[in-house]
Amino acid sequence: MMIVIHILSLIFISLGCGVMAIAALGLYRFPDVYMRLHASTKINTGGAMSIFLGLMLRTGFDILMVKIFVLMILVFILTPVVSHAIARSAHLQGKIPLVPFLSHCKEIKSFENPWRKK
Amino acid sequence: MIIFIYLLIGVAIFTLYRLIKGPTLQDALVALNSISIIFICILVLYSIQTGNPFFLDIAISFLLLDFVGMIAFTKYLGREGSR
Repeated sequence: MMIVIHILSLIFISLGCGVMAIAALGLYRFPDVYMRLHASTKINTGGAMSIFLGLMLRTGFDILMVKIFVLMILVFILTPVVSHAIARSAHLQGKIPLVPFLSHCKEIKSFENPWRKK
Repeated sequence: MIIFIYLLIGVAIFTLYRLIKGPTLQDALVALNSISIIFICILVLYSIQTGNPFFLDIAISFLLLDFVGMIAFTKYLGREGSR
């Protein structure tokens, strides 16, 4: 029973680290602020949640587990708030998202579609 | 367990590119938030690996300070018409 929990925690931790690595690649490659925010949210909630869950499985019922649980709840509440605040500030500054289906909108004048065939 | 810490340090260094060379200020904020979350994960991994519970307190306080700083920065940036 102990080895099953150990292997399960290793699977969760490696899953979180892999999600973080792929999301960092997306943060490097994506062309827009909003798409980079979409990649960053995977680091903030997906990877961190998975790593904390694996470590909670590893420690057993202890003071360490309670502290990791508090940290998990705080990350789960606070990081989407930060992501929404960054997106709101980018929207209020007039950044236009690079969405390929919005090119026919009349209110977006200066729009250059990067995926349109020339 | 120590290999995950090295992997996360590599991911943080790789994310540092977007912090330095972001075209706008929001890109730098996104990269900074990601780097702080990765740093919190490194602290928690190191705390579990050494069995020392004091790094978890540092991680919780660092998360709260990061939240307050980010909210203040976006409130400062997000006025209408600011460039």
